[in-house]
Amino acid sequence: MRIRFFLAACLLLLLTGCGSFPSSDGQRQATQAFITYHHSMAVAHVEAGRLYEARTHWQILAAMNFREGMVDKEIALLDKLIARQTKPLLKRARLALGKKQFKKAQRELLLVLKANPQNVQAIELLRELSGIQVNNEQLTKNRGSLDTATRLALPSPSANRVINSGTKKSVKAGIKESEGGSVKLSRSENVYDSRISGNVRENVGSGGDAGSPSTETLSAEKTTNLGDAEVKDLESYHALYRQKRYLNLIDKVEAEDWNGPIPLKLQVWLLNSFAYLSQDLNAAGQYRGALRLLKRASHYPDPLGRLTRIKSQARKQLAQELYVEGKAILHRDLDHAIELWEQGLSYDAEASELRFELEKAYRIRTNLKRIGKEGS
Amino acid sequence: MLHLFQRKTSKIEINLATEGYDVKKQALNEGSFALEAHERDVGVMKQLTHRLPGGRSMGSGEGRSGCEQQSCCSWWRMLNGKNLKGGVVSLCLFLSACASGYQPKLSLSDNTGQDSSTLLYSSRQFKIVTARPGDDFSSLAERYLGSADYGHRIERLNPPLSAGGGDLVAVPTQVMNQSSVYSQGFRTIPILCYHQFTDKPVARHRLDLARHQFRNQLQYLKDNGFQVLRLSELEAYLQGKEEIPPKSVVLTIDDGYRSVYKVAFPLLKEFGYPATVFVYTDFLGGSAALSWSQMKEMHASGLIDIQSHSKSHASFVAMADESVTDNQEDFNAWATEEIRVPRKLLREQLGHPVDLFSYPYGDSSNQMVELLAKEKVKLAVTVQKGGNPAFADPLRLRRTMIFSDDDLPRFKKKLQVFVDTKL
Repeated sequence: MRIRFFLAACLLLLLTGCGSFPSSDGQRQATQAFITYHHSMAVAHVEAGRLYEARTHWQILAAMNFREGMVDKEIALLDKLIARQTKPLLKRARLALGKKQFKKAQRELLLVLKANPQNVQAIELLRELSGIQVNNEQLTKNRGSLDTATRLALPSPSANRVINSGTKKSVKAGIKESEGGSVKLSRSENVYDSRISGNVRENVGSGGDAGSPSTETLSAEKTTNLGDAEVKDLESYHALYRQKRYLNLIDKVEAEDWNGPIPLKLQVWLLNSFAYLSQDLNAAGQYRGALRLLKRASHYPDPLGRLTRIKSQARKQLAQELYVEGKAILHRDLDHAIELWEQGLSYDAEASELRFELEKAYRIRTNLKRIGKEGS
Repeated sequence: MLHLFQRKTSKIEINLATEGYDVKKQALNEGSFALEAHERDVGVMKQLTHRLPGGRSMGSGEGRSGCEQQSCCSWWRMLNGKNLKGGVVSLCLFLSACASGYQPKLSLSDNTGQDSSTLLYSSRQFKIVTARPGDDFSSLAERYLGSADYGHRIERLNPPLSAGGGDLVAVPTQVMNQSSVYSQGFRTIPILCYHQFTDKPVARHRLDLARHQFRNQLQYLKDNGFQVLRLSELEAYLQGKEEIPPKSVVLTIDDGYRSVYKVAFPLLKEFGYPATVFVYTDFLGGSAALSWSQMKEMHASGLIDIQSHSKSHASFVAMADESVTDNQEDFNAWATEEIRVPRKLLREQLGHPVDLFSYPYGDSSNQMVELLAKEKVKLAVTVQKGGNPAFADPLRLRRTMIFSDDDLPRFKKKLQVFVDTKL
């Protein structure tokens, strides 16, 4: 028995000694940790349905020749499963693209890439879609949705005197004018000036909150062709519009005494001008300015509700801004915070977060008053 | 193992039926994990430690691993029994085998000039390396991928490194996610668009930016680990040759005002950030515009890339509008000149390729995209705000305008580096 215990003790000592070989044991432990990590990650990703990520971890194990045959089988199986997921999605995306259902197509394609981020077909289709989206935004920005309505309403572009009045001569004239460096400089500066929201804000004028814009649609009599005098008059408006001097265009229209309806083409430019300027103001965080401007626009028809959408966006953003402002001062000035939130709620009655905080603030104020009374 | 895919269990458990042991994942929290092994057979996990790297003998019962398992059981039986001599001999044999230890086999020829002692395995997609003491993902990326900027690629696949080194790390040598789409959404690269700068404390208008504002913005990018890319580099990301970094941004400056040289250039040099300046050549030579010598100096610094912003800065959309012209050929001829003239001039003067284009007023159109493609322009930028994913249209890249009234929180908002799609 003694010899056995002696030998067992020796064995333990030797084993401990063996274990302390730094190069072999440290590396062994690191290797074990590495394998178990990637193995468990692969399994966890499979369980979570992230097959591509799981495949990546199997590939790492394959790189170190870990259980070669089995890992290869796993990768092959994952490839099959990924293909089974992506094929119907790609098919559905193509169908949606064919039907011009861009959002649906985008979603399907992103799901393909979620399953396999290297899917070249999905990437190329998404690229195409991305181009279409930017182009659509550009069209909305530059031409306005009403332009289409105008073109549809008018007999034909070639029969329209406004269109004919601006032929290639105008193009050449435009180029010639801009060839001189100084001329170009002043032109571009003018353009920038017209885009400067600081000026816009100052010039928008006061008016408080914008009311509901008119939702009146374009009537038939407004789509008639224009007379010579009107064409001549419209040229000056068009020049302003082309130079993107939107605020000047709006001012000019408002200064004019219109006997009868404003020509349709001009209505389009006007509506676009309001839209661009208010979008710019929204983008710059000048929501009140945007609302003031949109109040001025409420006298003009907005058949597709474009300005209404911009207004709604401005009101929501303003409510959000007031919510944040209120949050910041809540602990210093409860009454002011409540005031801001009440104001915010008047801009966006559906702001649930704001409503919740406001109700909470009311409760705090009531409690504080009660405590004050009890204290006194 | 294959049946794992057929059954969906909430518990993360693998039943390696062929091996006869269970491995249960206990925790998996952003790279840190623990494994609890339930051994069914005495010594299996210990043997596994020896056998896993070799891998091939696993489960086969052949080779050294099989012998070890056998001897491990036999010496104990002998010690417990009466055959002491045999036990001692077996024990000695086992211990000598133990002492020789398992050395991971270096299965590659290292022809990269790297320290071969840290490079253990290699495949077409990965290098498996040992981290040195003090290594982080950036230093590993620099050593194995040629640039510390690729650290994020390694970080995504590995648990955090221990300070003492010795960890095995998987280094991807190929792009593993060329679309940069992930389960939560996709990464994007925002392109920022500036115009004018001023030395005065307050900007003169919205497109003007005071020096301190620009400095604060660059400082923000630096403090928050943004990788400032060249616009020309974007092509590689759009072609799937690179994975979009978690935080990256491109700086561009339109028009070519002299203030770019006076205000922006010194700051860009200070921070070492590249930028692309788009100039329209009709403007050059004007009192407020950049001079050729200034452009040459900026270009020579290696930070500033001078590219085309058309000849006259006329809006292509306004010009193409049917109310302005109904003659397609005239428009095409004019627009082609607007593309060609500045490219030729800049190439001649600065001696570098001019393949990038900025639409005047950011106004793009299908017609212009076709013309630019025909003229072999590689990238073109609009002013439609937002970030650019790997699948963006190279001739309709989004760009976000920076205004003088953009304070830092708003500037931060404009840096859209990830789109959450909730797929």
